Formats: sequence, structure tokens, C-alpha cells
Amino acid sequence: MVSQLSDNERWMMSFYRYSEITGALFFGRIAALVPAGQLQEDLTKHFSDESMHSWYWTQAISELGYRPVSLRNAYQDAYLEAAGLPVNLMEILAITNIFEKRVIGQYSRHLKVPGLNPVIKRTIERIVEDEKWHIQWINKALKNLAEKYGEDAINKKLQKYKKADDEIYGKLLQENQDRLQFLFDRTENTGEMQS
Amino acid sequence: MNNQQTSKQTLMQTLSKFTKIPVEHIHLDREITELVADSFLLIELMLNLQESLGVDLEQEDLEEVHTVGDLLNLLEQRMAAQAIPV
Repeated sequence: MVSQLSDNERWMMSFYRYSEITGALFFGRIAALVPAGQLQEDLTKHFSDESMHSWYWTQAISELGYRPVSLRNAYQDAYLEAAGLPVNLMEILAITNIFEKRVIGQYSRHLKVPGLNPVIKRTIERIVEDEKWHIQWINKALKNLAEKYGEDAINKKLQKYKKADDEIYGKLLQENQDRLQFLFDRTENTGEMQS
Repeated sequence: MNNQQTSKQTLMQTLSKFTKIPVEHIHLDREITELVADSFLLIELMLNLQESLGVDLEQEDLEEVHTVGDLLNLLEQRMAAQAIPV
């Protein structure tokens, strides 16, 4: 099936695909490291979900008659520069919590684009269900880690990573203004992009 | 083997495993980010070291860590601190 897809939409789908692949590779490595238990189970499911999401996007692009755009930088790559290197599980989960919220926010914004291609709509809706679970399990795991690290310390990390994420997203919008404008043009008539 | 020997041996062996560089070619003045350029691999390395040595690190602990020697000092300090009964 060949469907009319703008270059910007194709870039966006490819960007989602690449970010999901990056997430899968990262969580796969972490899941392989942690000892057996609930955390390992949830991390492995998370890894599997991210991997499936990258497949859904690959399938969607193909179904529409296109090929993914070749990309070299994922959203997550900018995280380490802005937020620093997480070195323990609590920090990894805290940074992921913020990232997952951003992902849901981004996909929700995309769903609001009027006249959204049904293949893109279906793919996002399928993925968002998993993303909701990601936030749930991470919140639960962070709660369990509060005994070791303290609730205040975890909240401070969450605030720190939220600030970094806002910076990264703002930068992404700025650097890709032309590509991402379609997400805002048709949803808001302010004439400018808002994060 | 004392704590210092253990931490140095573990650090060098772990770095060697992650970088595929023989232990004898890893020097204390080498920049860690030069040895392990991939950030995600660096996260794995840190998790691995904490697990092996039984120490806890936080992001802020690494702010002043640049070389292999800096990391070794940090790990030794942590091992010593965590060995002291409270």
C-alpha cells in the first residue's frame, strides 16, 4: 500500500522507530545485568516492548509504502549530555520515568493531528498502552527503592531529570522546527511551537 | 588480598572485559571516556563494578572522576567507608 506521507511524517516515524530501538538495546543490556526477581522481570518485559514498538514502526512505514529514514541520533542520546550519566538502578529508573512521560506526551500530541493517517494512529494507540504500563512499573520500582535511597533523594533526581528533559525537548523542537511544525500547526493555531 | 588489591584487580579486569583491551595496557592515567566511549556501555560498567565490589555510587560521585585512577580512588574510598560498622 502506498499512501501519501509527507517527508516530515516519514522522518517522525523513523525517529520514533530509532528511539524505540535505542531504548530496547539499552533495556536489554540492563535486564541482562540485574539479578533475578521482579525488577529483572519488569525490565525484560520493558525491553521486549521497546523492541516490539520499533517493529511496529518499521511495519507501519513499510505498510505505507516507504522505507525508514536513516538516523544516527536518538532522543535518549541527548539525555546523558544534559542529565549526566545515571550510575545506579534508581537513577536509571528515574531518568526512564521522565523519558516515558515525554514519550506518552509526544505520542498523545501526535494523535491530535487532524486527519492523521490511520496506520500511524493505530500504531501510536497500540504503543501508548504499553507506555502506560512502563510508567506504572517504574513508579512501583522507585517506591520500593525509597527504602534504600530515600524518597527525597529520588524526588530530587526526578526533578533534575525533568529539567534536563525539558531542555532536550526544547532543543529538539528548535533544531527540527520545520520537520515538527506539522504536530503543532494543525492542533494549535498560535503559529508557534510549544513544548 | 586486601581491599586495595581487590578493587584494583576488579576494576582492571572489568575494564578489560568491557573494552577488550588487555589489562597490561590499561593505565591509571587513561581517561575513562576514552577507554569506554559508548555512554550506555559506561553505565553497564558502573553497574557491574558496584555489583562486584559491593559498593553504591551516585551520579554526583563521578563528577570529579576523569581517569581510571580517579575511579579506583573513589571505589577504594567507598569500600573503606562501607566496611566501617556504623
